[in-house]
Amino acid sequence: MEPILECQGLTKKYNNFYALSNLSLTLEKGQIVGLLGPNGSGKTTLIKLINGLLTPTDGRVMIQNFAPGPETKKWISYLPERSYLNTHMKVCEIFRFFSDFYEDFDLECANHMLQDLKIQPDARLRTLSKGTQEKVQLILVMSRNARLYILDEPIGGVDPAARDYILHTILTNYKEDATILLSTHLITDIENILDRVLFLKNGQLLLDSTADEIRTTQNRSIDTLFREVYKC
Amino acid sequence: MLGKLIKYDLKYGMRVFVLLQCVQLIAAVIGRYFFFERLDFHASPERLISSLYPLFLFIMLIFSIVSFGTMLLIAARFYTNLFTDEGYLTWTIPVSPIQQLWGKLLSGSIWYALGILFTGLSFVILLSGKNTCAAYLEIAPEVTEALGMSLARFSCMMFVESLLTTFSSVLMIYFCIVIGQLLPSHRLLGAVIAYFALYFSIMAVINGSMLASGLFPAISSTYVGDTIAVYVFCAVKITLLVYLITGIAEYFLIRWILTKKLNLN
Repeated sequence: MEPILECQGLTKKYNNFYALSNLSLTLEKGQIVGLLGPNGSGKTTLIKLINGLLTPTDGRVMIQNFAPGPETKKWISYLPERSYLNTHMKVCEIFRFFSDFYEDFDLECANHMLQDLKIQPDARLRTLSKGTQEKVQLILVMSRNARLYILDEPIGGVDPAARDYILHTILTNYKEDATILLSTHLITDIENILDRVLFLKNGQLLLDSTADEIRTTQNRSIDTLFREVYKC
Repeated sequence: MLGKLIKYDLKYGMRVFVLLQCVQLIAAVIGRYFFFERLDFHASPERLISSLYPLFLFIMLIFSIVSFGTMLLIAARFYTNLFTDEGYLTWTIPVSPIQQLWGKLLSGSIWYALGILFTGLSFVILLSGKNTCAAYLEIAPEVTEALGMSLARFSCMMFVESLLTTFSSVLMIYFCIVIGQLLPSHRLLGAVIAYFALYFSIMAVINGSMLASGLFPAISSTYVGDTIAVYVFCAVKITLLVYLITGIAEYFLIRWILTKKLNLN
């Protein structure tokens, strides 16, 4: 099967610190992949390199045989770990912005999710709580019919009830041939939805395995394995 | 896509821009009706200067604040949209860095050119009252002779010259911000230092070129006997040429940094 993402010898260096070091990996289509690792392991750096927000020191990233650029940005739906929206804008204005720039943005789907969450379309983002702003971002990202969804800590800053809604939204909105790359610390919450896991440590790939392999051959849950690998 | 980028950029700063220009226009209207129209131009020179001096300072202060505010607006839009958290969205829409740059250049130039137009309009409002016009008509022949053309024509040419520098002025602002981004821990300081360094370098080149072409009347006899307009427009030509050359260099450097050196925090 043609891979959706390929990284070869990917390195990102800041002064004398290697945020990523000679990392190579391949992601297949139609999988939910957990990108796991402690703080500073290189998860966000990898995600930013895939999205073209950082320039690699060495190596390359290819998304369906294209280096990060306007073409790949049509296919990738990215949720960063921070709020990236202009908070002076109204929710409906942000929806229009996404409609204008992303051909695959499903406005009807976005409005439907907005109704589900009882968020007013004419509310300005700055008037909404942090949790609600995160939900708006998630709606925007999951309302695209993308080939690759990259979600950086989507459940990090929200309460358990919101977490359930977010995971439900992710699962019900992504298409089967699409791929999700999901970065988080909260492994227990997402363990059951993962097809594959990548463990990162000090900018290097420590483990690249299917979730089933971990459960059957190592007879452990992903969470247990994570705690063992990253034991302080 | 370029049209959409420009649309969102212009929409972003609209309120602040309108507010700034309103302040300038109101200052011009107040200046005209409450000062210039009441000014006695036949008073003794000492009295006239003592009345005009504070008024002139006040008007120049307002116009400078508005002009600086417009520049800040252009700089803030470029910086926040490309290099803060908003950049995470800006750089992930399916648009190339070159399109992003042109979107910002054109929207910034529109703000800048509109700012110049409103400043010109404010001057017209300020100085076109009956009292001022009547006073000017008395000295018009001397002014025309000194300038080598009518004041209206001279002003129009200076206005067009200001419009011609629009693009290079915006490029200079963006260039300094982009240079600042190469210093991740001192982005703003880097941009400010780059601005002053570039500004003084350009001024040095312009003054050096003027010196070389004998355009300083105090030390050269080349232009002695010519009208002010001849001298001013020769200086303007040199300035525009220097801005054109530096503008081209700035454009290609910005383009290279945005395509090869982008690193969002």
